[in-house]
Amino acid sequence: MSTASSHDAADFNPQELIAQHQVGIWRYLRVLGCDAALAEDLTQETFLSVLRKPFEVYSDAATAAYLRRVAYNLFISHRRRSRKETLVENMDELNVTWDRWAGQDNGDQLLENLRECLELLSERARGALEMRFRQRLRRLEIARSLEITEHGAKNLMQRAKKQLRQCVEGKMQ
Amino acid sequence: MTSDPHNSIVDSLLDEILGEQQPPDLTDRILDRYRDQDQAEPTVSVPPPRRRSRRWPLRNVAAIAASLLVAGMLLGVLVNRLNRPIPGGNDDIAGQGEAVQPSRSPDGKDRPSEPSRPVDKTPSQDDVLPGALVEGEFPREDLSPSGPEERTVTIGPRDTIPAIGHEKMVSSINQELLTAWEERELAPSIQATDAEWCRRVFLRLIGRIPTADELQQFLSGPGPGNRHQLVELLLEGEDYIEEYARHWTNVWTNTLIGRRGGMADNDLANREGLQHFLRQSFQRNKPYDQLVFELLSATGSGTPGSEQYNGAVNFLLACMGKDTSLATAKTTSIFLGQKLQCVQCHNHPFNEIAQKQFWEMDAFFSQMTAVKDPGTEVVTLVDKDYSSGQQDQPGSETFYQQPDGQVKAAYPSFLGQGASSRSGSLFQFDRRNELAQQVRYSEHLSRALVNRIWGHFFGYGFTTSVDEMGTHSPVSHPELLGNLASQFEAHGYDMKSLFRWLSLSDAFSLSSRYSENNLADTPGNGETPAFSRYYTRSMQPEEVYQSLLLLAGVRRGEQPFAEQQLAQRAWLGQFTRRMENDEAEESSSFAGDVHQSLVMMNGPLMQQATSPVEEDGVLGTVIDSRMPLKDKVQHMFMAAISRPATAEESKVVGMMLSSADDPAAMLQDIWWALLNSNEFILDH
Repeated sequence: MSTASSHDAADFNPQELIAQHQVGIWRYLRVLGCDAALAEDLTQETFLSVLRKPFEVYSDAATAAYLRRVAYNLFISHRRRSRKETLVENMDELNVTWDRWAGQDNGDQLLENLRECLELLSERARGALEMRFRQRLRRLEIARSLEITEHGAKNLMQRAKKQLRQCVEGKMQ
Repeated sequence: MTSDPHNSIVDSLLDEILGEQQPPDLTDRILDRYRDQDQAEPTVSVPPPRRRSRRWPLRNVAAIAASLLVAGMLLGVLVNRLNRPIPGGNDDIAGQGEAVQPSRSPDGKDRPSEPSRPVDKTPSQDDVLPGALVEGEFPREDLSPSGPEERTVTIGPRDTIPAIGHEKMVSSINQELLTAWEERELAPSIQATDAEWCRRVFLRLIGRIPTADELQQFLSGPGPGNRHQLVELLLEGEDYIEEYARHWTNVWTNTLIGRRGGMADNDLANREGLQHFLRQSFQRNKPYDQLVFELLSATGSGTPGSEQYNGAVNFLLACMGKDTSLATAKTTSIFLGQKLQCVQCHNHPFNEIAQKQFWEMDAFFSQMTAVKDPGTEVVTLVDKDYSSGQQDQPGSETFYQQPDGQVKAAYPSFLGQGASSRSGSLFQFDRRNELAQQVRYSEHLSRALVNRIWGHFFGYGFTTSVDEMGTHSPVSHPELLGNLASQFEAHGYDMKSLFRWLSLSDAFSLSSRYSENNLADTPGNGETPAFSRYYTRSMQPEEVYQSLLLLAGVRRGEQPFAEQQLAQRAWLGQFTRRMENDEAEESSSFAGDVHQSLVMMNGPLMQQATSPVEEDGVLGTVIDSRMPLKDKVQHMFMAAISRPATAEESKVVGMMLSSADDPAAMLQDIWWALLNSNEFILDH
């Protein structure tokens, strides 16, 4: 256990702390619903907030959980300032799920698993997701492209994501 | 963040894989900021010990203070001479310069200096738009010499009574209303619920209903002080300043130029320019008297981005037609509560106001001219010397025709108080500036504003029409109106103070339901309002629009203000039609008729608000959430009508949902029904 009080403990290195956890915090904030720019801002704020006050390093997992909690609080504050709705019961569940899925490696393995699962999707389903996430098309545009209704496009992508989820769960077992 | 957590995780990771949103390396940036913060830590410097204390002789202090005072006064005079700001000209658009700081009057209030005018370019006759000048059309009469001309001494502020605290002011309002209820043998309705009060305070202060989250946050707050905190949050909170400014910009744009003013191609006024000026004024909480002064004395162009741009000119530009009578009528009714329109043609049938008074007021606008640049089409409001006669026979009077055909002359005179000066020379007597000063320091200004704002909060003003406070229009609560007006002046014409008092008054917290003890309080039937209950009324179209946008999840912050206003105009344009009469009145079909019903039921905005695929909309959020069905219904009720479903409503909704094949589609139907209910569009 090392103490980072006043940040002058010999074995505490802010650079290492940031390098080790920043990707995990950024991904976690993205999962909470931040766009890339906001996730970047809040990641910085998270570390600055932590570095401002003393904290004790018990383990990497505990540090990661603590950082996520700080990031979560900053995110909630931001949502309140923006007057966006936040359903807290969902957030708690999301935290548990992310903790379980992302494990101890900032979500790197999860990402790799998801890449592999993507390849298993049908061409049509993968195409819909590509249009959504790579080309940033709206549902209506995707629907037109696939010659289906808007609801049909929504259902297609939801089914595809459900398959991805099941695939990822399977790889974790 | 509301949908299934698994989906959220998959979405964000897909964005990283497919959208190539890679996590950045922030190490250096964080460390830089961390080091900067460390260096910025405040340090306490300890002064070296002094060998002995050193005291300044009292006479030295007095001498230095006197020197500073004299120097300050001289400097002030010098600065005032050299640096007179253009009235209303401190609303530069981005990139056009810094705001002009108003000078400070001896009473400590921010006031603009007496304005100087831009150099009169004396446009050619072809450039002058019809209307501002009526020259030599009538034989001259009553041409008494105006005597040696001299610069007019403008009037100054009136003495005000000491300001009392906000709490005392609220108590005073409550006491005066209580006395009035007792005199009329009325008992007030019961208290409104916290949720009802929250909804109405959002509507009155920022022009939209609260979100379910905002409502829930208020309801879970700590008791009695909570209302005070919410009012402060909406008035002063950084998060609400934009909505506050937008709402009051809407209210005052409609008051000044109507819902259609400044929108047609041939309009002299530019609606966007006026809204820009108003928005900045409300963002800065400009004192009301200053706002009015700027509107009445402004010169410059009304088009944002043009040379000499000054958004304040658009009020008067909107009033310029074939003559300036509309400017006179609107100035007196909006700012002074004196409706003089009908005395334009004849003496008032019910009070002492004579036709002459209208034209004497109108004469203040005789130097005002609108000039259109033939190349850019930009319209500029300027003042120039006024002469009624030919060059060899100059005069400064204006003329009007009595009902018997006799032509009379008029000189500027404020509400019949006598001519300030008869000069038509801009240098000797700036008529419009004089009018702006007179209005600013008139006792009618605060009374008219208080009456108007009281009407905004309670549905009825203290007089039958808030534009008409003449002697033939009795005031329902004269002491209360007088007290509010005096304190409004004493608080430096601070509109937020007035909003605070009215929001926190007992009358604002009463239920809208009748009781058997106040059945007689029915102003809708022509009775004098007693404000013993909160009068139910329809939301303003702008309030409905903003509330629907909120429920549809449209992110306003991502769209520039001007574009937001354009979208709002397009929606409102469906309901408003300008009546081509002398008072530029408008008719609105947003009053519960078929047109409104059809737009509300089937219009694009309603479709957007009730679409389950709108990711940030309430419906999409609720459907995607993992809340139990019962909680989803309650959330929708709170979001739409700011209350939970009653037991009976829950029962019916429960039956509908249990028999539905597709619960999501049924939720969509329920949501549609809520947004199309009377309760949604009512302020109650």
